[in-house]
Amino acid sequence: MNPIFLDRNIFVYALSETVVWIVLFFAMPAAVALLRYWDFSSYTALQFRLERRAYLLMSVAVFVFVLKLLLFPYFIFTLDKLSAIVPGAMCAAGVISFDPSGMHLLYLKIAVLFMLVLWLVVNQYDLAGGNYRWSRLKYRLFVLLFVLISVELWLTLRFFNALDIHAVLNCCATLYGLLEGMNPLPFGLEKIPMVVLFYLVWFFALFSHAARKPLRHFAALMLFAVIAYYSVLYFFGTYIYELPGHHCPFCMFQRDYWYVGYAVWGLLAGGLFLGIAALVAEIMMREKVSLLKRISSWLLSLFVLLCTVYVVSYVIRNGTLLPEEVSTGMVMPM
Amino acid sequence: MSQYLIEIQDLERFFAEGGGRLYVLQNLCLNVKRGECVVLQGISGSGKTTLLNLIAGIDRPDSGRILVGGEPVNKLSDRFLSIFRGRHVGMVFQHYHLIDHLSVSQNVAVPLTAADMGFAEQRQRVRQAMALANISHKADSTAATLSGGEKQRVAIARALASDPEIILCDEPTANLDRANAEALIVLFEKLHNMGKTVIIATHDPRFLSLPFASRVLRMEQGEIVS
Repeated sequence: MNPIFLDRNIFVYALSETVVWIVLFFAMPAAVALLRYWDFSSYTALQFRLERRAYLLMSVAVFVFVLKLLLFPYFIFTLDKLSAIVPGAMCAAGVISFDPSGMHLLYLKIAVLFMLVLWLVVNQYDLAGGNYRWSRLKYRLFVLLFVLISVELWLTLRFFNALDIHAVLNCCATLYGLLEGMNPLPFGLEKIPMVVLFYLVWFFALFSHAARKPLRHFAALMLFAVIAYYSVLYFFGTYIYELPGHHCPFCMFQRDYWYVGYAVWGLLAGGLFLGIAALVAEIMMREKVSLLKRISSWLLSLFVLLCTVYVVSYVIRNGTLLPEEVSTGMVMPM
Repeated sequence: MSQYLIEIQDLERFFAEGGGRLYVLQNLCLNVKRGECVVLQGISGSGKTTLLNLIAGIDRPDSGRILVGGEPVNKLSDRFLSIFRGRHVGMVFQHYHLIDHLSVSQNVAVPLTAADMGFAEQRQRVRQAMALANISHKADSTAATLSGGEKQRVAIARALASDPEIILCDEPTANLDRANAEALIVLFEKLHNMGKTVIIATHDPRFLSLPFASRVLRMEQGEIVS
């Protein structure tokens, strides 16, 4: 075993993830039994036993899933702390890119986060109704989540185990630096049109929510996910760092930047996940999930406000926007 | 629509005991009409309290069906069960279960705190319930300073505060002297005359000959035997 597991943060993180998995593992037989035998219209001893187990399982699952949601920022924090002992890495970006599986792990963790939010939404509506209409759907999602979390745990442990603290890693400037002659922005956009699009899509998302057009709202949120990511990376992030050439999504998680990355990415992820999960839940349950969509709109608006504050604050202090980035002629490492 | 307010079919409640099962209620069937006063007689451990708890939705059965006003009580989720209890059931416990440091009127108002009603209406309900239970004169006294009979009256006033159609009483006279017990029986008659459905679980022999009781049922080992 890699002695890096003795690092305080990795130890706590890996242990927490393992405990979460063990709790879910012991809850799995109950979930499978619920899926197989659940019949709410029945008054048999088996059904009543299942209802009691369902209550216990639901309580355990809510606790564990909320804990799992909190573990994600701790994972980023752990990677960030590791960058202090891994040569070359200046932030979590370098550490996560140590191994190609690192980025896959990050994407999987984000997918699991979305599934957790979806499960919590379905659970909320299942309990709010009087007749547990969505129990089967909820336990199907539970089984799927268990599979995803199992793979995630395995990848997490494998990633940390493979981490070599003597290997020299790339820093974020290399990983997220501009490539000469290449436009990294989506849809071939330039920076300013992209920022205009950022505000337009945000407004469109709010409008489609207010107009109760779920398909347009869904499309707006998906588009906003892409535009917002690149806008933070190539425009708003540069105002957080006050460096026109710095495009790292991870450095803003550091103390130097008041840990604002947790707020920026947290608000964006929270707003998108709640909004999309509410829309997916609406399609699956054919019920209106308006409160969550409202919360989603508020979170996204706070995200837009936070991003804007950095630009406005810079302009007020300096009387100008940040100067254009000067190309360094950097090439992508092979 | 069924003629019964409470319908109980094949009710079972058991607890695990040393690898086996200890049945507290077995295949119990009981129907109660609206406005009836039913006395459940039986020694301690015969299942009276468990039955009341199940009707009130405080406990859940292991099998069987409980319908109250056509609503399957044992199938309601916690949230709906709370609403059901708040609207339909008033429970009087053997040991009162009052909050000692609150005043009588505050104790009576406890079930109304979650109800969707204004403060003025709450106060009106509390006043009515205290008057009915003849405890208005102690409205501002703290529960800890009351005698056993007074505490039982507060417990009854609390059960009546939400104007439920069903009143469930568990050994209401167990801790009372003769005079207080007889005053309480008069109060039950008043509730019965108001059209409330009253179920009283007791081993007090005075309830065997209640003139207003529709039925006296005898419970033994989790079953109604007569």
